[in-house]
Amino acid sequence: MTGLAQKPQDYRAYLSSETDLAGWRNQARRALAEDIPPERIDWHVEERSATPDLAPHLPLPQSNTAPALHLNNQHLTVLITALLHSDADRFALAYRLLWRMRKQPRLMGNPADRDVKRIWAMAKSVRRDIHKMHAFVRFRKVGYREDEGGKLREQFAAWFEPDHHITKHVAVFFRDRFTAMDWLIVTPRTSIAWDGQNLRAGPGGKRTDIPDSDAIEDEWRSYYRSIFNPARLKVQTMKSEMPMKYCKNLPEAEVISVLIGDSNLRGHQTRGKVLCDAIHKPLATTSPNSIKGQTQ
Amino acid sequence: MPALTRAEKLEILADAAKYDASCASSGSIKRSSLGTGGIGSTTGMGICHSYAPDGRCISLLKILMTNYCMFDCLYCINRLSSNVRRAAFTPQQIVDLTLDFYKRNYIEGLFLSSGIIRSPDYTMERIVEVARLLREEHKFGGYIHLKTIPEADPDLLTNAGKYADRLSINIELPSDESITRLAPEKSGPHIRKTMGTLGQRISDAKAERKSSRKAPLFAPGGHSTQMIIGADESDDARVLTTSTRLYKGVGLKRVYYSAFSPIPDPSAQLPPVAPPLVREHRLYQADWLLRFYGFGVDEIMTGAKRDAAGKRHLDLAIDPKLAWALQNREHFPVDLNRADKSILLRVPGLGVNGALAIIKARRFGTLRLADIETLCRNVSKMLPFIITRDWTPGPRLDDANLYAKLAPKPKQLELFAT
Ligand code: SF4
Repeated sequence: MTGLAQKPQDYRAYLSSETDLAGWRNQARRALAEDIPPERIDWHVEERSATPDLAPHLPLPQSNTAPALHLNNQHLTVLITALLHSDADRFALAYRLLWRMRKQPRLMGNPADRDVKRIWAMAKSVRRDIHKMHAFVRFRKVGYREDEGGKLREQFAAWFEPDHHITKHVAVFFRDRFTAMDWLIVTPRTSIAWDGQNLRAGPGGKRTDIPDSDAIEDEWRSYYRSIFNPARLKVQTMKSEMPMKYCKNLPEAEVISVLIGDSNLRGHQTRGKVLCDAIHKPLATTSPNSIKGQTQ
Repeated sequence: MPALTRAEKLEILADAAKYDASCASSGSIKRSSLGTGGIGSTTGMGICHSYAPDGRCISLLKILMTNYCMFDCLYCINRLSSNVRRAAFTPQQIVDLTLDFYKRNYIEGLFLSSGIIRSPDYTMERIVEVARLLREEHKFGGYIHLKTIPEADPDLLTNAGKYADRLSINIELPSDESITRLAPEKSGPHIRKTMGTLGQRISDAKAERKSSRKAPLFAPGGHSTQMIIGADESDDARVLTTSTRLYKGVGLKRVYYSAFSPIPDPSAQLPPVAPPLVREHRLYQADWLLRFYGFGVDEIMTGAKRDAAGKRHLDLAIDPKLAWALQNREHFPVDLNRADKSILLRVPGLGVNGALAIIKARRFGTLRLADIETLCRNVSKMLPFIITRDWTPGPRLDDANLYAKLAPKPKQLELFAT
């Protein structure tokens, strides 16, 4: 996509936030209708640190004609999912694919194409992040609230650090799962909350916004300790499925160093951090087998 | 003796449940608590909320209701004659614990099993009561897996299926003779008969749901079983034959293999040592070939080895697909640009995802080795068996030392045997 003949980025598409998918869709449609090549558009996210305006930019022209582009559902989902990725280049990449698809309508189905491969990989990474957030959010009980009917509702809160811009996206999953309780999930960029009636999004926060323990966590740790079969350590599998960044917020992380018998780590059990280091340290007993049942 | 706390009971009863390999929470219907105002959902996918250092996914609260047991299955740590610490939960305690864990997002649901106390019926009734309380009193929408007791009244099984996503009955051992010898109160034919009944009800309920959305559910996540490996003399040929028979005969969704772990105070009838863990791993791989790759047991066993006693076991050094391919070289090399899916799936190193990606990509042009490298992870393993536009294995495939070249170095084998 680079070359001597490249024109400057003389158009600018404005996106109000990292998750302004509607804005991307709208401007991508206009740009396609006006036949504007991808290399001439600067996709500008307003909440990112301001890039100095070296050259004046044109906003994308308004357009009433809709470009003829047929994307099947699966490919559309891949594009939209990839747009939640943290890579700054994703809006441009997605537009470039749409642009190329006008000449190669079946492009998205070609896993050997470099752009296609990249967008699929981004979508995959976002899906994994979503999945890990579903799995590794840990609520702590905050207390009770009396609802409108005078009934007590339990209240819970959690801290989580996703890789990508997925927090609002996962709110529905948590609402559908934890309808009967109030909950709040705080991430560095965004927070989401449910009160039995409405889902709300708010500003991001800090780990210390959330209580640092819950009475039940001891029982959970005893469960974790007991369900594990010491005769068959497979630390490699655990490590690949539970990367450090997620694991440090899990209450069971405290137990792990003890379980795998790393006595160096006992004694200074700073919550999470040290113990996660423990499981990320290669062990002599690690088995090279990957997840059971898979064969290639 | 002072009464045990909930945490102490949990420790004992989780410890007693850890020999059960199954932890799946996938494959059931979709459920949401938004409509019921309760707690719990299932997405159909299953979620691992944690991983233990043994590499296993922790998805469900997996516990025994009690580890007291009136049966005396010799391989089992909870058998009557064992002197482990015993504990018992009440149904309400299990309900509370499940909800406490669930609300903190530690788990997808509950996997409840139990030793047999008073009678099989009494035990089964209490297991079902836990599920009823969760579903009816607490509008719980999470995953429930109940272990069913084949000796219990069939009506109780009906109730279990009404509340549970998945039911299971452990076949325990690969042969009826071994069951009779090691689990004297149990009977192989009876276990299979109950499995057959379950399988029938599950498929009937599925068919009814197709014609009416209101038809009652019955274990929509299907049923599964577990077989202990290495507690008796059965070889892998026997194990896989039993599995195939169950997959075909009673519609099982999944057979889990659990390498026998020596238990305290063992009976003289049991082997003193555990089988190598890699045996269990190879069985899982072979099971995968049976279910998703179109292999038959006889085919898989062409790659097997015969030991001094004439037993036929899977090769521990290499995976069963590679073992088969080395014994059946006339099927290779496979042209990745032409072969259809069933043939692609026979190529060592090529999985289902890789095969599908190849089929997709070759519509856009003839594939070269570099393309295969972008599509598949394990290309070096595939090389002796494939043809692409710019690659043929040549005489490599006829190399008598191919086995030695492809098998991992012995040093790794020691690791496997830990
Ligand atoms: S019935 Fe179950 S719990 Fe009881 S001894 Fe046999 S296998 Fe163990």
